[in-house]
Amino acid sequence: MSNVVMLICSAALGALELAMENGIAVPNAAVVEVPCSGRVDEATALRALRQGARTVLVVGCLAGNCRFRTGNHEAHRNVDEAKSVLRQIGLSPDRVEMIEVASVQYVKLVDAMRTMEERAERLGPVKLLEGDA
Amino acid sequence: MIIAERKDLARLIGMLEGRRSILVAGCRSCVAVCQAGGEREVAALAEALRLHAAAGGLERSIETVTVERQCEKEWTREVAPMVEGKDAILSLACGVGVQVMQETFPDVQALPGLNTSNMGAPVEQGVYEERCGGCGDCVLHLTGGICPVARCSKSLLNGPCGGSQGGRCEIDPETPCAWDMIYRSLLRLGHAELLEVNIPPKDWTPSGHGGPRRIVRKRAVLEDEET
Repeated sequence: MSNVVMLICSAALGALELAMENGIAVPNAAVVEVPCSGRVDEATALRALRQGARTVLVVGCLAGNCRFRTGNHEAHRNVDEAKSVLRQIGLSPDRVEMIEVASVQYVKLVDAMRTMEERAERLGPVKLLEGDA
Repeated sequence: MIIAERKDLARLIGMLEGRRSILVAGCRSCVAVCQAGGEREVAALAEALRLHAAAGGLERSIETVTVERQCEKEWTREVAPMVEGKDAILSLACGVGVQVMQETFPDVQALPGLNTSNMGAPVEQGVYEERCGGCGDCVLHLTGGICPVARCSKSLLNGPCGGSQGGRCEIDPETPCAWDMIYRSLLRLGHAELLEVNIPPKDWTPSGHGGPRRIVRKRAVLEDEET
């Protein structure tokens, strides 16, 4: 399992492909394509952490642009719930994050991936009482 | 439907201390509708507990199941193979479901994962309001479909108190005055005359004040030879 797991919707995936086409050094991450970011519930994000990921990045479309209308809203709620769970069990909520990108916003996507990579480095493996706030 | 809320995760973790093999059991009925204990909530809670166990180096096995209705043994009996060998059942059903699970599996402790609150209805997604007081002597035919027991803060039966202001309750201004709603509903229904019907003091025995209630539908009870 990579340190960073990225769950990215089909529409936003174009941004990752554009980054690679433009020769940008894309941080190492396990990329999982989902039909819509709304598909990613809190259980999925938490499972990724339990199975070895240090951080999870959920990538959806910009507000108003979701092809399923409200999927990205659902994703935000789910990520907020995952963060709440992490706080309650003594882990850092910074391990899970969501961003919204258009398919052309490859710089924004890569920046977010780098941020999650830095957090993965800082927070280390998931472990209670050590490394997490 | 029955409205319930999940207990705090910290509280649940405390309840499960020392348990190594747990079955998280949801219900597809009321608690699924109010998003407290349905299949999705079961999956989310199980993952949270597994992550807590993994991160804390605890040896713990967590399985999940969602029962069609945890209040009926016809369905709870079906999960017997999954209960086998477990230290505890963490039930995400209402209080009824937890107790029926305990009755079905008397040798494995059933723990309540939810706080059962009231009988109500969704007013919009994610918002559930109490509607029925379970008094056992319904007067909705006299009150335009608005329950004075559940929706009046004082459960008044014959009109508003002196504190009703601008259609709002003096106990909580966020709460509409039930008798204001009753008045408007009866007017709309063309039955304003019902406002003059005096509802006598309630016998609260059927509401549970006389002990646990039991209703027998004789027509449905099976003879010995039918079971």
